[in-house]
Amino acid sequence: MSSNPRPKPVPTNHPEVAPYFQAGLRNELRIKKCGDCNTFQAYPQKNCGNCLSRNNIWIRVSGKGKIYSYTEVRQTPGPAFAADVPFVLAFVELDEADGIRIMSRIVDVDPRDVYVEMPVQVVFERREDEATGAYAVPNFKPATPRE
Amino acid sequence: MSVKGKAAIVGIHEYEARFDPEASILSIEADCARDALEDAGLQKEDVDGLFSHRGFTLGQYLNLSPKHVDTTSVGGGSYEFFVAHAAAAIAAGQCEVALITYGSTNRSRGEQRGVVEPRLPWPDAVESIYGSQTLGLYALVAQRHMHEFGTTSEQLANIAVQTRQHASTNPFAVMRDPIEIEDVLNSRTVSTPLHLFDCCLVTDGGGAVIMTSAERAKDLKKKPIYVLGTGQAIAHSGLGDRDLTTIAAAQSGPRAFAEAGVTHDDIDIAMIYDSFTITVLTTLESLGFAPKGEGGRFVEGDTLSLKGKLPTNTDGGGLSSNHPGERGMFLLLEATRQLRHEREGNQVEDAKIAIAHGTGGSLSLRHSGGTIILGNEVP
Repeated sequence: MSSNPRPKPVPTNHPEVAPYFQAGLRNELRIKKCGDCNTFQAYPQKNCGNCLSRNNIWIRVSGKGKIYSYTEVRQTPGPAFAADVPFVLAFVELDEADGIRIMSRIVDVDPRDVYVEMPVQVVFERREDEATGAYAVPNFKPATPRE
Repeated sequence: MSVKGKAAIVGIHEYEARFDPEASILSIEADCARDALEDAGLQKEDVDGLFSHRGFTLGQYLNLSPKHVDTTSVGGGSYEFFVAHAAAAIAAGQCEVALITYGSTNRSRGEQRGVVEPRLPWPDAVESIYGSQTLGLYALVAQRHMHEFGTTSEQLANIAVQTRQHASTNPFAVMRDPIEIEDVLNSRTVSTPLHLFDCCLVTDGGGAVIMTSAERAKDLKKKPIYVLGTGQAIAHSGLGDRDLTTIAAAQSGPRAFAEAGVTHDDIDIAMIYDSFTITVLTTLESLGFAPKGEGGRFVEGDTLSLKGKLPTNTDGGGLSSNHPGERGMFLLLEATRQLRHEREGNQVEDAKIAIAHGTGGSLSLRHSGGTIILGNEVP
């Protein structure tokens, strides 16, 4: 690991996406749903991806889902991630929100135990940097029966 | 309006060096342009259409003042889009001699290749924040394909093995020693389930293609290679509901086949973008050479070899010959060499029709698909 690790690429304070990362600080996963056509969208975007309306609102979801696909990344994607390797990158299909699939990481698990269809639960990783202040990134961990 | 048979590839050149620290992107494009014009028997002054990412910068470097300019940028598949656009422009009379160029110093100058950098709030804040570079994104496709269809690492490995066999006949290929399936499986795992030999090379390089009208093509030095069909598409995650294993080729392929008026059985050679072995497998399925989910079985054995059912990537591909970042150019060059019957040492016997499919961007996320069907006559 470099003695001066580069910050992770995080334009998290832009108004289009900031509520997503701020909700994470409260342990809430929020997803965009159009107030006009009721379409859920995997990406936090200002305009609805279906009807292009600006009446696209944040909806809180439970954060339960299952793994749609995953990979254990062993080759670093760059200096900002050198300390993270190996890590598990994944698409998670949410139980709610019409089953949209969002990109995330799978954490708190031995990568060898991860499988497609594995039930998972959102867990938040708090980060802080000078440019954007505090924010939280949604990751997922294996769901336990109690959750 | 169909462009079938209205334009032809009449000149090509592939930059031979795979590592050239003395070269610049523009010098590579200039070398290739000069030699492709020589191949065609045309002069620089004949060029009135320029198709390159570098636009006016390349125009100045070559001292060209074209009346038709196209800087389409949809990643590695841009060159199949350029051919489609050039054919349309020629058919519409907007230009008569089109120069398509590509240059890259990715190997000698490409510091921090594949490294993610901060960009836009959307979509990077919810993608690259996780370290989602190209390698991992293609691994996600492979993993899902294995889960849904039982595709195996051995089947993917065989794509690399067959491609290496082709490369062994190409004196300019970086990797020429034949390999076995075990060699691929024993190469280090870079992102599960992909091994190092499932991945393309990183090289310098470039190329150029000269196109003109079918009429003018008849009087030039080389046998014209006609554009029979073109298809363009982009695909993306949509609202979050996209099937990872179906790619843009599923849209661009049928468009190209319909315009060309040919079927899969008519195709003598396939040039398929091979950033990774999984790219080849999903492309063959999405183009319809194998039913969805059966790509793994399709590529077993010698299907992709010179004597196989579908000779594929006969120059050694991005997996073993060269991959300067945007391999779409080389698909066109090898298809043209094969259809001219000038591919020494690895010629597909009596080849008449070839398909080239370029993929740009990243499977899993946003990507392009450009399909071109070429023929050495117009059926």
